[in-house]
Amino acid sequence: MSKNVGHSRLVVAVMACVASAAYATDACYQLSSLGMGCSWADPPVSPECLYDTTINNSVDICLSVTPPGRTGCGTTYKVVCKQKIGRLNEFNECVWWPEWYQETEALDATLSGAICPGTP
Amino acid sequence: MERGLPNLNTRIALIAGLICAVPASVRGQDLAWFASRWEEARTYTLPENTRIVFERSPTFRVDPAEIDRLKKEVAGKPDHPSRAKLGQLQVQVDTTGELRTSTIWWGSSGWRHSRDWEEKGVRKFFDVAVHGDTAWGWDPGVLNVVATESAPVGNDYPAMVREVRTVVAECVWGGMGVGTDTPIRLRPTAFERIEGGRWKGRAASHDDKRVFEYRGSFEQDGSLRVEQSECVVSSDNPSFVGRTVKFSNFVYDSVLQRQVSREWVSSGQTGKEDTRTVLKSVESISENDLMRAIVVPIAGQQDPVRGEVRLEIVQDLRPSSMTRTLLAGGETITEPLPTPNEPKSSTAQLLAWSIGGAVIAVLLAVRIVRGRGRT
Repeated sequence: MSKNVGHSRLVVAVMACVASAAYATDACYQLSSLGMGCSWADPPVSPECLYDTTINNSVDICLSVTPPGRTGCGTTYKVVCKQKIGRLNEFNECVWWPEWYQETEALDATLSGAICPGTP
Repeated sequence: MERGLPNLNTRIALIAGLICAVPASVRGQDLAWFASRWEEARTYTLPENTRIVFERSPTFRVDPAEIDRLKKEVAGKPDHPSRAKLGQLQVQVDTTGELRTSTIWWGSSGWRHSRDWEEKGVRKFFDVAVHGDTAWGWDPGVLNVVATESAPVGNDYPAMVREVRTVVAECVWGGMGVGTDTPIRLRPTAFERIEGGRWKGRAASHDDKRVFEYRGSFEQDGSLRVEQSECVVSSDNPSFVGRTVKFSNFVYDSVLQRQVSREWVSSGQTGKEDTRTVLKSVESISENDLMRAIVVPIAGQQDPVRGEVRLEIVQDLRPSSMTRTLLAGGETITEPLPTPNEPKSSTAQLLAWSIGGAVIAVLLAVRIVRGRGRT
């Protein structure tokens, strides 16, 4: 689990950087691919259990920032990859309550700027 | 007559046998009766088209020294495995005593369980529902839809009825009946009437590794009132031993048409309270109200609980669909989700290409060697 968190922080950092660049230079971004993202390498072990996976094979956005000069309306994408970790109760069932809140967020990117004209 | 009587030893044995036999018979009848009450609780469902609201207030007792120790342990180590534990403890410190609301809609058409809470002033929710052959889970912004018959691990929303079943059974039955249809297959094993018009009963797992004891009194109509349940044996997981739930504030509920507990408190091994649950309301709703609550949310439409449905991602995991849709800024991008048969990692793809390449190389080499042999 911790590997995913570390990986996600790296992804978020990269995303923020690209988005800021696009915003600061009045450039546009092109959504070039939607691919596979965080893979949960370490399944939870008893007494923890996998309760809910928001995106079990998450979206990975690849960006290419074009030279400045383009304009257009701003668009924001927020892509999330989460797991809710539950606990085995006294009946050995996986249950979850907010007070046990343990959610691993592997990818969370907010992009600002404009979509390049002609982007499919 | 005198001669017909058995000797003294035989008479003593007969009398002793009678004394022992009668209570044993009564005990057997009592256990059978307890088992039938247990079965009644197990098969109980809320009345058709009901909405019921509970509030939970967890009380955590986090040791500040433990947090300090973990902070030092993970300092400068972003991937340290204790970070998750530290985060969890910090959340407990931040949210202790805060209310969590559970709202349940129930009917033959389906059910929904909405959980609301706050975390550092931010309102959060998690909704799960089953409607016919479809089930869904909704985190803020994200909706997952599954088929009830093929819900994948990690999105098994139909199975999440377990929390609904448990909280309702606690309210109505003092927790009796819960556990039978679970991996430990709990079943009643003992029942005893004790002094003062009270009783105690036991239920054990199929392998007897876990045993729960229930204590209480009798209602005016002779039915059981559970006032306390406790895990008394848990040989495979000692952390459950001593876990106790105490039920109180019994009232007659006109919608459920029975006595219910309006408040119960659970505590851990140390006896300190960790969660207090309060029944806030029970009401009958219309079929239309139920349907509006359980239908799959659609972005931009109104939801009876959340208002306008705002979604950023919809992942449809039904075998007939298998798509992921991104919704943002008025734009919608839908793409197919990979099927389970597709290679899932670049490593697998690389391996496949490597093997293919090696086979081609070997074939070419063989052909070249044979060609040279002919010349």
